[in-house]
Amino acid sequence: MTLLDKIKVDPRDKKLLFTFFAVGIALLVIAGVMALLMLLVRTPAISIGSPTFYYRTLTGHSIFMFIFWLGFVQTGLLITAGTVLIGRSLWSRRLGWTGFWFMVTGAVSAGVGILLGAETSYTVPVPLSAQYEGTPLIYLAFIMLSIGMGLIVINFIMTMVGAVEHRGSFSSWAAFLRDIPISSFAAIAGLFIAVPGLILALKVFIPAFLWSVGLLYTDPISIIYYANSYRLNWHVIFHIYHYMPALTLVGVAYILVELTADAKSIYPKQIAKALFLLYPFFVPPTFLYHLLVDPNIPQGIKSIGSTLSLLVGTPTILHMFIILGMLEARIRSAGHGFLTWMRHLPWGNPAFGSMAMGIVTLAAGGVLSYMLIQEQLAPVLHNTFAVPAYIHPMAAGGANLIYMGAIYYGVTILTGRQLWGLAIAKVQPYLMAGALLLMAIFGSLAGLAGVPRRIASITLAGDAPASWVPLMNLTLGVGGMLAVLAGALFILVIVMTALAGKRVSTVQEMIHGMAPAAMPTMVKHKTTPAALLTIGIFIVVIMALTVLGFMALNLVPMR
Amino acid sequence: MKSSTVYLITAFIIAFAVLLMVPLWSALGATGGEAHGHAMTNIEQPDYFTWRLEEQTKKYGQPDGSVRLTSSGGVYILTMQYAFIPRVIRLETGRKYNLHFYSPDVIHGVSLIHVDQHGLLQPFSLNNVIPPGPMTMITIEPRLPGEILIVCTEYCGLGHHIMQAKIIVEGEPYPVEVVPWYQRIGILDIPLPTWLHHDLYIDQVAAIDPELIWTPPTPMAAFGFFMAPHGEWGYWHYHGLSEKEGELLRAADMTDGKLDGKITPGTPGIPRQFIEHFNLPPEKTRLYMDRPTQ
Repeated sequence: MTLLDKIKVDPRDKKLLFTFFAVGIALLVIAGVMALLMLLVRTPAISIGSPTFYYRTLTGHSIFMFIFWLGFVQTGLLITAGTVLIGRSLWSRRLGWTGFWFMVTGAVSAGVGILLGAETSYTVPVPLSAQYEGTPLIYLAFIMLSIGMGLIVINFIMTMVGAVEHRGSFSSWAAFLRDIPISSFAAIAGLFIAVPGLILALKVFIPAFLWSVGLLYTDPISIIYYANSYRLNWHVIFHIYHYMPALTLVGVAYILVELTADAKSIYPKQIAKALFLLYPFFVPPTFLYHLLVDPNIPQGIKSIGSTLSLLVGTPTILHMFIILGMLEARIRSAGHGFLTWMRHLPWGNPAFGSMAMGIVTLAAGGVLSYMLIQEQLAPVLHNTFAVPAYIHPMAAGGANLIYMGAIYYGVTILTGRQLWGLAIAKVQPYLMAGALLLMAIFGSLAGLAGVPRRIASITLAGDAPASWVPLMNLTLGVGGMLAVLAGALFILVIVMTALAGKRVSTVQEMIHGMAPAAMPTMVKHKTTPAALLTIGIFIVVIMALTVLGFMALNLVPMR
Repeated sequence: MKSSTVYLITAFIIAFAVLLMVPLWSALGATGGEAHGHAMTNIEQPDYFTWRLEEQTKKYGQPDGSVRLTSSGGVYILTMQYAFIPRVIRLETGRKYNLHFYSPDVIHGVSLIHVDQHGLLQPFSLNNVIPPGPMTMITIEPRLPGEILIVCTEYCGLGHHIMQAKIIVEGEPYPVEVVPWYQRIGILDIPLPTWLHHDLYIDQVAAIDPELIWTPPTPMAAFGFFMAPHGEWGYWHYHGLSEKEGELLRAADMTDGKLDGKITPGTPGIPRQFIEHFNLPPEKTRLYMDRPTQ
């Protein structure tokens, strides 16, 4: 019995799940359009549109893409992990819909705020945001989103508690945690950072909202102290929020590996589950790496923060070892050799292509991110274009692509239709990954050359170094545009599937083109040398780039 | 042991091998220090900074509106929506300057980009954040004549992209002894990590005047290195004074009517020993202010 046969969606939860993903995709469309508009202003070869327009679309792009699209899709995945994967239905659908409407109110509030004029970027910094009319609505959006997500989290917890047979017995709880799928356990582990994050978000954004409407911190001295404490808190929340995708994408990848290649782990499930519990230990203390060049944090704290940050990727690296190992063991069990097994992966399955390319871009972004979290190298890269150049392969690549893989399955099963435009869906992940890698490579070089991020124009009144324009043309004009195109193709496939896909009755027919690769089991393969080699290479590349980074630092002719 | 267990254990060792970065930092010399903009931990008074800026213009101002500093020392740059003031700064190669940035309004950033650098591909930049309130200090030692662009890198409003200034570096290219990176990675010659360097610096200070060393009382000593004694915060503490006393002193300096960076001896409430140090010639006091952060 494959995982697919076990998947049952309660028809009463179906509507809620479908609405979550549908609204999420609508927000993805808005954010994608904003991305395109930003590219039109910022690509030096195009440069149409005003700076104000750029800062507005920048704000919209970051808020809708990073906060709302990821928020909706991850909340949808949380509900999936708590219902579909463990064969339960939601504890309270009314609470689910209440949470959903809070989140929608948040999205609408942010949209209206941006239209009114809130060129605040998604950091909404104090005291700068006081200069924009739409600011209170942005803070309100964050509050509404936190409340909505909090309600869904409560719903998820109650659903999980309801699934335990004897709530008073410890062994019953242990058996429950042992038996649930890895991905559902990932969702539970995620709560350990999500819940404090949501509480902190309310604690920070409610005073910020009151400040923005002129009720708090009105005198000029307290605003300075408030500005600095807000900045620190904002980075803690943001740090926790951007590790939710890291945890979620791994949980989704475990499902996709099983769905696309019928691969089971050869390592104990408990190891994978225990690795998820490392995130709550490694993530919260490492927020400091966003503040490595802030003047008001002592050097010793920064050094400790930077050292701890090295461990933040460790759980993900080990998960990737297990996931790649699952694939390797499965394909090699069919009798393929050490060098040839990769050719036999189901590359033509759009969900597999999305997952594989997600892992590739995640690794590329991961290597670059290790350069940014090092305290000594931070001044060379901080706030340069190297930051978007690493976050896009990680978030738009790693997280997005893997979620897209799951959505390819989700849309067919939830609508009962076959995928429309299978040929487009097959190409889309590779195009997206290629585009993001171009953006990563040229964007990092641009960042190294000093191109700032979040800036409307890089001409600097004619003083800008000559290398900037060609590097940014390649990064945004080629990489960025192709990424937007790949995103548009994904939307096209999903929307057309929901509207015009062929209606079928069984699950096996719905996932036409995405069925698990049928492969005979010839030998029992128990070792995974390629997976081990991959993570080894990852670490060696990080070390080598660090040496290069220090060489670059020594070349700076100002010291 | 089963082969899968061996693989799993090896994977854990590899994944945690990322911690080898810490000895790698040491081996590479962890040279970030001076390039960093580590600065004071206390909130700056706007009028104090304005006074510094006025003094700077009075002393070093040029007819074309730029300031020209031909000896090592502090450079004060006001950072506000949407300009760096002064807009043009002339410096000399081979000198060491402490650029002090202060923002009275919103958060800004600063990126220093040496346009005329002969690099592999391009110039490199040094970037720092200037939050409203605390002062950000970046120590630079320009080695090549040419232009260093100063660009705001933290989104600060609708005019963010027009916020720039320029340092013009004059003089001859300054010879620097370059130690090749492969000579830095020596097993027998591993330098201490950055965060252990504080004691070495204190030794240098002690060689000049042992009385200037303030030892934190135990058990505070255990936290000594958390409270990196650089910038103004450490400056007061080296004199055995609290930050508050330091503030008082600065206020006295501002209110004795002369605004000359000196305090009249005998000012009530200020310890005599501190007044002496405050009134030392700038070359000597700068030792503390400009302390490299390594």
